[in-house]
Amino acid sequence: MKKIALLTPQQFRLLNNFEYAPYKYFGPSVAPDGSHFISEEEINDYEGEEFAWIKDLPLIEYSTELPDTTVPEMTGYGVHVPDECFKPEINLFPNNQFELNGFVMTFTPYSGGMAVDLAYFQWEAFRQEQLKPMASPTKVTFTTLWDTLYQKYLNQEIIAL
Amino acid sequence: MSRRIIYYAGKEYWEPETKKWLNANSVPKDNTLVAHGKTGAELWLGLNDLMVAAKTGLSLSLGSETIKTRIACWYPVLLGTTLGAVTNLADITKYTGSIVGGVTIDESGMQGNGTNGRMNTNCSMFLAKDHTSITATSTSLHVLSKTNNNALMCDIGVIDNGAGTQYDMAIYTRNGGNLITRLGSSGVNNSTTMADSLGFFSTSRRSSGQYKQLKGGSVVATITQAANTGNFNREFLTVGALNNDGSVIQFSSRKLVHPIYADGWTDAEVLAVYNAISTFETFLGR
Repeated sequence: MKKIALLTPQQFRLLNNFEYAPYKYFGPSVAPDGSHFISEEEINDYEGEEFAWIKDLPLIEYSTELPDTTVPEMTGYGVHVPDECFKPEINLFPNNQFELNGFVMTFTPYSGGMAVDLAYFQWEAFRQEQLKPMASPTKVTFTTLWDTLYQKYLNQEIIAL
Repeated sequence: MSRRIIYYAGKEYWEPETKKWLNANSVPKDNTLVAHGKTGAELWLGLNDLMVAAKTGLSLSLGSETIKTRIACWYPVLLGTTLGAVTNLADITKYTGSIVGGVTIDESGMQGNGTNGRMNTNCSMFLAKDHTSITATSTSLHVLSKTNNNALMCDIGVIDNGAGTQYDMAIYTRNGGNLITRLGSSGVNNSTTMADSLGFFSTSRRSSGQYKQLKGGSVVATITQAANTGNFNREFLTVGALNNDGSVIQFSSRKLVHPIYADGWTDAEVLAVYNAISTFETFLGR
């Protein structure tokens, strides 16, 4: 498995097209999920001081294999999603959907507002995608909400849709 | 192997491209340097033999810098050094490559990491047309792959949509069990069953209506497909990935040597250059 190190957008700009040795350039790239990275090979090859901080970047595994993004069969039961998530002025989930690297989760309208079907909580590939290091910005926003909703599921706060 | 040291008026003579390439890479004509298990003196002879055979096969005269009239760039990838990978044998003053991202270079060749590594040739059709015979209807790509796999990896290629009508050039030595090429078309992959991704792969167009796919100097398929004439790629040709109109994708992890960008070659010319390179690679033992 190939290894890469994630970069912030600022680090990406610093390294992009920088000639770190004669005829050799950093090639910071963009992963399918939009995150920036450089490869383990570049980090090992670099012998300068200006960007010595790249040696301290944590390496993570990188795969270009596509996960199975097939949406699971809906159960007809779910948990309520806080109404403020769907306020027009916030528009947190355009089209009542959340998309993550090819995974699409659709919220279900019901008489009490909006809900997420329990099937999505059983969708292991979707959960794994959320937990990938490259999805860390997602953690700050969506996964926090997701964990709250999942707790509702564990607490049996289940509604028929 | 024949030793073609040419003598003029009793003076040792080398093909100028050979001489310039080896001098640029500081290869002495003695035994103070050993690379590929060969002394510097042996490398001079071997590379000169390659150049003589290639020029002869392409019907170019010996003794002057003629290869650059038909080949824009040719990277033999020698010595296991970065400079030995990026120096253009066809003309050391043009199209020195740039290694970008994770690429491993050793005496056996250069190998991208399949993630972000590639070599930018800094050469486009738009630039090459001014000093070679390359045109939209006379162009060819070649590359020798030393890795056998079957994956969506572009080994040499560029797509340019900047001039309004797209012009593609690419070789995927093996993906989905097929050799896949593009040459002059717009987004159309031409696939032909291919057993492995090992060897010298070529795609050559010499007319507006069709082009050929070749492996090891033998025709694999003739593709009937019109070229988008009148358009010249301004984007740079990339080795070990596809430059997709400025966005580099489909990174290859195959070990590659002898990527070549040239005008359209006949079947016999492809075979002659393949034989020359094959002899040279055997000489190097790689």
